[in-house]
Amino acid sequence: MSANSVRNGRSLPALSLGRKMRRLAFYCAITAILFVFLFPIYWTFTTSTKPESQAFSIPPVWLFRPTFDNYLAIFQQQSFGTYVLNSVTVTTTSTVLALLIGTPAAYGLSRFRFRGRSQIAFFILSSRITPPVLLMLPFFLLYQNLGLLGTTTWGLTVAYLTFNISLVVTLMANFFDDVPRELDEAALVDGASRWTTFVRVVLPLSRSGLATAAIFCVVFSWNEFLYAFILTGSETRTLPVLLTTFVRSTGTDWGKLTAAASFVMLPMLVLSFFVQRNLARGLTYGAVK
Amino acid sequence: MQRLTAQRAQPLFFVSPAVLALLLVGVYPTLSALLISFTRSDLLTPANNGFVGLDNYAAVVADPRFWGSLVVQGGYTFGGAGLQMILGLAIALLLHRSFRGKSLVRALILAPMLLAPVSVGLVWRLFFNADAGMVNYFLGLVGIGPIAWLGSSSTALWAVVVADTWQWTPFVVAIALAGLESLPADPYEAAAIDGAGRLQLFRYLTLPLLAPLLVLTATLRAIDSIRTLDLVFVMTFGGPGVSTQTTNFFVYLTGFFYYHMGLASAIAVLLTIIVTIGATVLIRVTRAQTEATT
Repeated sequence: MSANSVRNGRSLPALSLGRKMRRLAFYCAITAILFVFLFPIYWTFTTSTKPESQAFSIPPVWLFRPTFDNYLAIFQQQSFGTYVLNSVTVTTTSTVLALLIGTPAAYGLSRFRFRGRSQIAFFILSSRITPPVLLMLPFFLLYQNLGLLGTTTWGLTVAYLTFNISLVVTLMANFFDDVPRELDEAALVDGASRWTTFVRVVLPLSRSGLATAAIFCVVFSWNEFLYAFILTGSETRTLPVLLTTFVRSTGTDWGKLTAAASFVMLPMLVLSFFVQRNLARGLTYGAVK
Repeated sequence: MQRLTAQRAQPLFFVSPAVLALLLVGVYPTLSALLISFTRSDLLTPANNGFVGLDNYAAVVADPRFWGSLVVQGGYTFGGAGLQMILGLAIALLLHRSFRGKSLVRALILAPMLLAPVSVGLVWRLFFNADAGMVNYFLGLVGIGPIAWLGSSSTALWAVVVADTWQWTPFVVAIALAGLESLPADPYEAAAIDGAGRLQLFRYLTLPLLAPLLVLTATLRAIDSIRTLDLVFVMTFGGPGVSTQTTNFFVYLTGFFYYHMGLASAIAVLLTIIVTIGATVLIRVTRAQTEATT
């Protein structure tokens, strides 16, 4: 076996060359994988700070003097503030509503065994499956008739609920299943009502679940395109639609496009940095049912 | 008939806001779409609009473009989901060991999923540019000639699949890794004592144990892939020709480009039926499998 050296009271076996090589290969593989998944993001950020002349040279320019002209250009665009406001409004409202409506439903599905339970569970799941193209036609016609298209973002907020409610219910029901029933029972035995048990006992323990559900709703609503494109007018558009306006028949303004794309990306990346532990866990909750 | 006591009404109290909301926002538009599909609703020539029964459905089923779109949709959805499952599982297996920086890698790899699909589509559209794109640049470094990815009907769909795979493989990685980490250790120890090799462990232990989770993940990916047309919209708009015209996108074109709302609704209804049947079958199968192995 290899020679042992002692350091701080613990022994460190010297690694054989074979193991060192395999470890190196492993870290090379990891780096390659991270490169593949992170390069396009890095490219978007750096291109947005490149002067127009250097943005598309082949071979690509790796070292350059960054400029924020592209960002200034899009911020100064008249409607930019409107786009941002609409995105923020729709995202927050839809997420909050979905949480308010979906969390009690998840609790109900998790704690009670009642007639019609599996039908209701399937019904809630089905709105997750429904392709938006099915609903966009009636939504469009309805909103057009009600004059909602260009005047308010409520139409979009409500349309997002079809997905967000289902998301919240599925995730939170799984989460509540992991909260021990004994806690509920202890509270009930002490005379608390179901609602009080839910609000005072179970909910405080579910903060990370709620954060996860919220993050998923936020990411979905912030990034959604189809409904945002169809169900809005020029005053009610959201950021993803802005991105497509840079692609014109006269050519694409890649500098402004990457700047706008970076701007749209940034909040999501920052937000998820704070909840990354919840993200991965939440994905499994969304899947396991 | 059971009396609706306060006790029994409790679950309904919790569940009804969600049910009501979804009835309003989900069922009502769905029924409305169904109704529209039975009418001729052409926004450009409203003169002939009215109830036409199943005419739209007959027209759709007789249209070769519909069946073509199903083929494209199948290629996009199953090609994409399949590729994501294979790559995702492979990466998860690679990551399934303790190493320095593991939690950082796990966090970083999720980044693509946080981006707007239109953003992803636009960036990859430039990457696949025949002259100035990164893909051809990197391929050129190893001597592979420039390929007109988005300009050729034989490669365009695969370019879109690559963009989709780039964005969603991390989804599979995260779930597969969590699944691997929740596998029981005992069977592995027993098998190792019996002299089983790495490949055998994978084939006879890991795969069967993970199968229900993997099937469910693949189902979720397939469902989500059918729901989105962002990538097709910004990368190819259904072209060149109809090589990237998924059924999903076909609905959009018919309804909002050609304004045949009745026809579009009919196609959408058919698509929804197919997806719902497929999803229900897969979920039932997964549930049965999970119950069988636990």
